Amino acid sequence: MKKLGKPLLGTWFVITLCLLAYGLYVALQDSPPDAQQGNMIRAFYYHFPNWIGAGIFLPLNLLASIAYLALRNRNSLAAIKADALALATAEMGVLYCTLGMVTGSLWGREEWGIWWTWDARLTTTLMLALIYVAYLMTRHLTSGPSRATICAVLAIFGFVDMPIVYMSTTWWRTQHPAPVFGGGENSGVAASILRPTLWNVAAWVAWGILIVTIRYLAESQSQLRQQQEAMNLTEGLPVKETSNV
Amino acid sequence: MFSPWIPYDPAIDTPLGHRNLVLIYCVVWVAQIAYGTYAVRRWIASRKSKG
Repeated sequence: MKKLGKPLLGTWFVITLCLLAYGLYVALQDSPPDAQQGNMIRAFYYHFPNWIGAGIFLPLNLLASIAYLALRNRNSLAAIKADALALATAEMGVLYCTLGMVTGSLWGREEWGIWWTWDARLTTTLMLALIYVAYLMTRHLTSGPSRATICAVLAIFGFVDMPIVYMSTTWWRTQHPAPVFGGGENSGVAASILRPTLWNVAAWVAWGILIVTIRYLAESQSQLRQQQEAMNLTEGLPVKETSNV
Repeated sequence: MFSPWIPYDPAIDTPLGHRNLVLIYCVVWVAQIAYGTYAVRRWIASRKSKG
C-alpha cells in the first residue's frame, strides 16, 4: 500500500489540476451570462463549491472525532490516525467555510447592495466558522495529552450548528435564497448553469481530498514520531524505588 | 492583471460587479494555493524529521 501511495497521490494531483483548469475554462469562457445577473452568475461557480467542500469535510471531521474518542483507550495507532484526519478535515472545512462567506459577500454586494446582513443563514454560518476557528486555535495553541480529547468533544458540539445552517432558510425568513439542490419544489438551476457548477464542484472537492490527504499524512507522521520519542524517553528513565520509611 | 480573462459586458454588468467577480476568483485561488503550500511544507518537514 505504501508503494502505491506516491503514484496514487501523483495521479490524483494530475486529475485535480485537469479538473480545476477545465472548471475554470467552463466557468469563464464556455458558459453564457445570465439573463438577470449578467456575468455575475459566474460568481456562483466559485461560491457554491466552497459550501459543498464544507459540507463534506466538516461531517468527516465529526466522524474522525467520534472515531478518536472511541479508539483512544483501545488502539492508540488508530486513534492517532483519526485525530490527524480530524485536524486535516477541520482546517480544510474552515478554509471552505471562510471562502464561502467571502465570495458570498462579494457577490451579495452586487446583487443585494450589501456586503453582509445579520439574517439567520449568514449569522449561523459565521457561528459555524467561529466554532471551528476555536477548534483550530485549541489544536494549535495548547498542548498536553487531553488536547485531542477536548478538540474531539468541541468538534461534536460544533457540528450541531451545521444542520441549523442548512435549514435556516427554511425555518426563518432570510435574505439568502433557499438551498439550490434539495431546497424544495422551486430549487435547482438552469441547464446552462448546472454544467459549470458541477465541473467546479468536482474540481474543488478533488482539490480538497488531495490537500486533506497531504495534511493527514504530515500530521499522522508528526504525531507518531512524537509518540515514539515519548516512549523512548520513558524507556530511558530510571525506575524510581519507593522506600517504606 | 486577471481582469481580461473574466468576461465583462458594460451593457449587462457594472464595474463594481466586474471588480468583485475578479476578486472572487483571485481570493479563492490565492487562499487555496497558500493553504496547499502550507500543507505540502508540513508534509516535507515531517518526512525530513522522520528520516
